[in-house]
Amino acid sequence: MAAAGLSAKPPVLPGFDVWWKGIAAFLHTGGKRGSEWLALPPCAPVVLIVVCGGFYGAVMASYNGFEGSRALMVFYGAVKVPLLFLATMLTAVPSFYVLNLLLGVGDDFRAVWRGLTDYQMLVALQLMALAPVTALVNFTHGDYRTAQAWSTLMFAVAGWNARRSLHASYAPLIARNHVHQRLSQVWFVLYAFIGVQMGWDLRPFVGTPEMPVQFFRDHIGNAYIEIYRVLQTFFYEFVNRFSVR
Amino acid sequence: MSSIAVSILSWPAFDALLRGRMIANERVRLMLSWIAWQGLCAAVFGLSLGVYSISSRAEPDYRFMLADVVKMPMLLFLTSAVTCPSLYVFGALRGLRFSAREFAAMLMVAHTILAAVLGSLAPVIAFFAVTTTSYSFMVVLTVVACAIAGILGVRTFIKAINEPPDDVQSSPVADTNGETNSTESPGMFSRPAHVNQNIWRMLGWWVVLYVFVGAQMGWILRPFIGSPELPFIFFRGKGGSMIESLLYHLHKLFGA
Repeated sequence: MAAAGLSAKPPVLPGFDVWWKGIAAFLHTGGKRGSEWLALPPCAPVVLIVVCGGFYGAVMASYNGFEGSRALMVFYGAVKVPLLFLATMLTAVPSFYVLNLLLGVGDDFRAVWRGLTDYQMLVALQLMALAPVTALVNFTHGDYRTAQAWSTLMFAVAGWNARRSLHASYAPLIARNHVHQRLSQVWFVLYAFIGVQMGWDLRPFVGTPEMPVQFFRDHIGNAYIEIYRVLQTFFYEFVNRFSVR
Repeated sequence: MSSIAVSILSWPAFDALLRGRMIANERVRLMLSWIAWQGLCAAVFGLSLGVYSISSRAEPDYRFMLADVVKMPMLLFLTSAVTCPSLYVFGALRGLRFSAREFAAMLMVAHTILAAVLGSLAPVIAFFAVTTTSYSFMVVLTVVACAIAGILGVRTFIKAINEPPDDVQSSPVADTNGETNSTESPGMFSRPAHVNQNIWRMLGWWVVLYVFVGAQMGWILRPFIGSPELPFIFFRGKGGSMIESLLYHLHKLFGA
């Protein structure tokens, strides 16, 4: 039918089963792209990150329901989670690339970049799988703090679990040059450090019922300082409760 | 039409499952049977839950019973639907070899066992519903019944996960250092040698998630038993939590 050169090229829009096979192989190997992946178009990682991340974002933002302007919040959620991933990558990658260059492994960066994309993709896939649970928590808990804490916890779990993919893609690199071992750890710390602040900058994701629907909150602030304040308040309350007057 | 129903509600398959004689590919092939059996058993349990609102009220309310017959299977199906994706993704990621369909079949099998245990406890629930007037007692008894069924269901599930792959199964003398294992009788949740520690830990977390989802799902689908003071309603809606309510009823039962 088609010429040999043409048939070797992956179709532009592969069917669902092709996608499923690629994703299943990716998961079963602990976050490595197998031969099944070749059937997917080159933009497949981006598509998966946007679709899965967006889906989770929409579920997370559905806490306040879908009435009126709250439906807009669901849409914002779907846009903002991929945006969070993208912005974190774009912020963290330049410094990481320079560090790779300085440590003399700049030539491996193509493989490293692929590993970083795989990591991101695995985070998105896990969030997609956890979306039904988050939907249940959002639906059943009247309490905003619980919904917020749950969503944050899911991000932490997915991010922590996805290190598996990072290990898988870094293993051959580490075998070649041991400096990659340290670099993969540096990436994880850098990514988490920037990701937390980025998540804070891009809030609201769940949306307090008392505050209006906004794409971004007006006050930006610093996530770490805010966390410190929350802990401080918590500590004082704790001390006050148990201290004898 | 009825012959299809008979073949789906196949007694030999159900019986073999309860006796623990189920082979992996049978599990997937008979998926519809598991769904049918768990729905049926859960509906029977639902019937027994509805007895209390008939026996305890001055004016018997049959609507609770009708609602429970629908809601108990719903509880099981919705819990599977919510937890199955994460089970597959985490399981696959941790190196379990099963496909998504196999994971779904395992969950269905576990839920069939769970529902069968609940169904077998239905006469007990119905008996107490007729003889006791304490609502708190009924709540605690139902939770205990569900917990027992849950433990047995999870046990089946863990057993299925631990099944050695087909190639290991075909050669029983595979492990040559057979001085420690083989002779030991398997404990309730014992871990065979070929299951990776990592997988074991992952499963533990997933079971925690599963229990949480199941409890929460049961909570939003309430009322099942129906407090005698409250009128019939299909769903009570948001608010409160399972744990809070359970502690309240325990306190009412055993507290001063």
